Amino acid sequence: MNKSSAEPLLSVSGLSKHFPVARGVIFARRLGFVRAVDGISFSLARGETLALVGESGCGKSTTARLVLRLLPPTAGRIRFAGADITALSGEPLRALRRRMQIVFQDPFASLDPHMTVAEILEEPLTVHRIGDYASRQARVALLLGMVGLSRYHAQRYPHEFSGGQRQRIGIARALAPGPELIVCDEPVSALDVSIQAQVINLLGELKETLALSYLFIAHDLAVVKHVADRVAVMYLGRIVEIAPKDVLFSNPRHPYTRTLLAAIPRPDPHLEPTPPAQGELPSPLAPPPGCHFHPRCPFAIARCRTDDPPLATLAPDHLAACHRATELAPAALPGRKTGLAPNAARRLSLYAALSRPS
Amino acid sequence: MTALLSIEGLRTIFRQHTGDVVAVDGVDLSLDRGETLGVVGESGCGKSVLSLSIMRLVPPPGRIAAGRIRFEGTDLLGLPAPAMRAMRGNRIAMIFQEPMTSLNPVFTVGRQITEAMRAHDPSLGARTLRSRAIAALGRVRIPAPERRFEEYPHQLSGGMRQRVMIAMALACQPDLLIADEPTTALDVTVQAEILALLGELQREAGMAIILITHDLGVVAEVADRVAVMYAGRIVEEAPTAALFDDPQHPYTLGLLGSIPRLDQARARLLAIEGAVPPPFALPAGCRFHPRCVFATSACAAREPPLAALSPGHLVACIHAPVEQSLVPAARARTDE
Repeated sequence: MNKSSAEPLLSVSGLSKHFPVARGVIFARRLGFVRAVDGISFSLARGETLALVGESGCGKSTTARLVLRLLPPTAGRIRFAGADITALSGEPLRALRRRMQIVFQDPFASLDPHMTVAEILEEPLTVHRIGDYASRQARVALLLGMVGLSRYHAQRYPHEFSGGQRQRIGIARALAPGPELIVCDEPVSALDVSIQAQVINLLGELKETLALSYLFIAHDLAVVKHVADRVAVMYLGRIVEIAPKDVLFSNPRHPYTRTLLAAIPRPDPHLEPTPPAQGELPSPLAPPPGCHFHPRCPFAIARCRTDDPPLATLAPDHLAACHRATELAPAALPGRKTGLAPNAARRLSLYAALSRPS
Repeated sequence: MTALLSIEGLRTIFRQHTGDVVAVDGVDLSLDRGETLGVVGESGCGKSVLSLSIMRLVPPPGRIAAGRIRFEGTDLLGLPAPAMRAMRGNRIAMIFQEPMTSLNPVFTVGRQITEAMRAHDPSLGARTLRSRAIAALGRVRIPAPERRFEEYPHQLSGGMRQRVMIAMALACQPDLLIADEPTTALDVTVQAEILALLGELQREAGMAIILITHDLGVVAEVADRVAVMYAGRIVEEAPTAALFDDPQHPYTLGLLGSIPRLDQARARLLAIEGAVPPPFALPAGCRFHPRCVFATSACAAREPPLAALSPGHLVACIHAPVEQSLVPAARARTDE
């Protein structure tokens, strides 16, 4: 756990992606830029899970694609395992892709319907010239076992599987070339609740057994609290708060983090619903001046409308971009300690005792 | 007082070349005025077909094969088509999950709201329609409703579109609103706003709501009573507090164990094994038994009835409450 001496697996500094926005086809007129990602910096240690959370349009998926070098950045640097990979191309880039893989959100759209599961899992091995035919077949069988599928599934097509099983295939494909980093882009948000839990548990087990590191993109803070070691909250292309999970959930310092936490519907009917935040995400084409969050912020003061707050260090691991980060009162979510009702807890522990350990 | 809506033995089937697929199988439900009923379940449990059945909008080859749906005592299934059409929108309205596909992209928001109003009262003039529509947009807290009236759906955000859908649904002040996953496609902060808005409008107008969702958190916040559905049947029904304080059906327990919680750290989530069976290959006996950790041979023998365990708390499990009836037997089984 000595993070200071070990070099992080991934580190990103000042990373930006600006998309030009134009109107018209022949006499195209540039309207400006959408700053999808606007100068973000973070690092990910080996064996760590860092979650990027935020609402639609906050730039979390663009960040994932920049890190994987699927999109060229406008500015900034990306380092992976000690080497600068920002400008990598050709064969070195291909070799790098073997070490970083992605699991997509939609298990229905991310598998080729014309390929059998065996072909889907073999393709990354062929692309990276890993092994011969026999060893690749053995690896396919091994991968299926790792994600909880059976050997006979290899000859089937994606449409023969349920959503949860398809996501298992997507995970197996990401694992195929033996990566060190896996970017999980909303891997469970398209799945049903009970299936979601299976996939979350699977990702946790794989991380332990294969010593993986995850960059976990999600909008569901309850899922994030379960899987992440550290959490970065994004708003309009920027990281507004980053902290170890327990710190972020017990002592959120940025008003947007508090808004997100308060908005999650909690499965406890005895809690009073918290009044919702006002306003919507402003247009990323014309973000408000000063702090981007100030029009929706219940704590905004005059300074917030003019000065853009930098991401400041509050504690060694805890950064927040808010002028009032240190003066806000502690934000305890009501009823957070209650957990399950006694009868529910008792029956759930019986349930757990009888569940087959997988 | 008679219930606003009462459903008895509803059975909705889809005719396939391989045989009939029963999507909703023997559902009984009732709902009072001003009440919010949450219907919870995963994909394929029949919750959406249930709501379409109430509206008599089940798409072919589906049809309602048996049962009664009484609305203020009138059997909706016996109504002639024009009378049912008058019922929809006026008395019973519905909103859907995806507000973009429910709105027509080539007409302005204003035209789509006034179209519904004109259909229900053809005598209204253009000026009255416009002012009523703008008032309806204002009621769902849309800023600058006069400007939004002239805009097209693509110019609105997801939250705004869902507000427009709610404004259209509530334009004729229905007594019952059926909301099918109304916030699933929205961000959490927008979801919180829409749920709060629905609550306010319900208190103002005294309408009843059937809220269909997969999210136990949403149900806990807004529902008075909850029905949990699995494979076309209700497996547990209870007042919301009772369902969360004293969950009885193993499927309800599994759902509660599957969700990550903010208020409790767990090493592992308690996932439910396997997947929902397809409606053409339902297991014999209790439909949940192949996935149930408490299942015994008796569970495969016959389908358990939905029976009252205490007043208002119905469970379809022969072993409920599990800790009393089953634990010695289950222990014996695991020791083998």
